[in-house]
Amino acid sequence: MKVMNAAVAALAIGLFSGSAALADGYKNCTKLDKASWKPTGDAEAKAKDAGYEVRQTKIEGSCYEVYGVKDGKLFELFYSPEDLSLKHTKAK
Amino acid sequence: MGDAEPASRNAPSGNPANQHVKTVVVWDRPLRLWHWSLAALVLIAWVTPNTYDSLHRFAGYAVIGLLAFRLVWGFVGTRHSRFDKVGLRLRAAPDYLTNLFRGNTGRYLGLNPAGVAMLVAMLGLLAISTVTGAMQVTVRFFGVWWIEDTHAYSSQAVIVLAGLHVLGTLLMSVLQRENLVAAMFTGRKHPPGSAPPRQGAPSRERVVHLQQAEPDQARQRQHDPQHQGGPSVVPDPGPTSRTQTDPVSIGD
Repeated sequence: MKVMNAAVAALAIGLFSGSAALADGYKNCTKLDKASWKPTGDAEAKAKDAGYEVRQTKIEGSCYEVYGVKDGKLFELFYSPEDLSLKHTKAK
Repeated sequence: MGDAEPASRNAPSGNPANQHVKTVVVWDRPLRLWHWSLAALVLIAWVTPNTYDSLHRFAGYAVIGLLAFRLVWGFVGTRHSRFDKVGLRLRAAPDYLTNLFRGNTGRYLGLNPAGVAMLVAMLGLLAISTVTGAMQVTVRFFGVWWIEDTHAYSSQAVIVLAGLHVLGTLLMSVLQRENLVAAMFTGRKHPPGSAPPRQGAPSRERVVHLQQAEPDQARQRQHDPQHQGGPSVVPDPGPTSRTQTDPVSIGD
C-alpha cells in the first residue's frame, strides 16, 4: 500500500501545482523590486478617485489588483506598484 | 424504473457455466449522462478560472443544474441511483476502508461504502464551490475574502477528490476484475457472486459444502451404533467430523 500512498501524494501535489499554474490571469505590471513599491493604499485611493467603491486589494504577480464596484458593476483594476498607472481593467 | 431488479436477483442462481458473461443493469442512463457531464464540466471549470471567465461561469452554473438533478434523481431514479442506502453505507465506510487496506474488498453491485462517502463529499464540496463561485460575482459578495477563499479551497478539494475517485475506481477494477469505467458507459456490471473474485466464490462453495455435509452426517449417525457395537480399537470419528461440518459452527 506504500505505492498507493505515494501515488495519492504525487497526484495531490500534481493537481495543486497544476491548478496554480493554470490559474493565472493578468499579473505582469512592473519589474521594480518589491521593496520600493508604492503602498497599496495609494492604488486604492486612485481607484476611489476614479469612482470605484473599493472592496479589497491583492497582490497578483507584480500588480496591485483592486476589487472595485462602479454603477453596480464589478471590476478588477490592475495597477503598477511602481507608478500606480492603470495597466488593465477587467469586468467581472 | 425497476427493470434492473429481477435481473439482479435472478442472475446469481442462473446457469453457473455462463455466469461470467452475465451482466445486469446497474447505472441507469440519466445517471450515466449525469456522471460524464459532471466530469466534463468539472474538468472545464478546473482549467478556466481567471483566464476564461465566461466559460468558467457557464461550467459552474451548469454544475449547479446537475446537482439539482442529482438531488431529485436520488429519490426518483432507479435502485442504484437512489439515496436510500447512503446513511447505512456511509457508516460502514470507515470499516470498509480499513478492510480494503488489509486487502479485503467487499463486493457491491452499486456504490461500495467508500464510493458512497466519495459521492457525499463530492456533492457537498461541489455545492459549496459552485454557490460561493456564484456569490463571488454578485455586488454584495464581490471581493469578500472568505467567499473567495472558500471557493478556491473547496474547488481544489473537488479536484483532489476527483483524482482519488479515478484512482479508487481503477484500483477496484483491478481488485474485483470488473471494468468499472466501462460500466459507467454501458451501465452494466456483473452481479456479486457471478464474477471470479475472492468474495463471492468462497461463500458459495461453503453453502455447497454445508448442503453436502448434512446427508453425510446423517449417514454417520446411522453408522455410529455399529461402531460402538464393534471392537473399541476403532476411534469414533463421529464427534470430530461432526464439529468440523456442523452447519451451525461454520455457517456464521
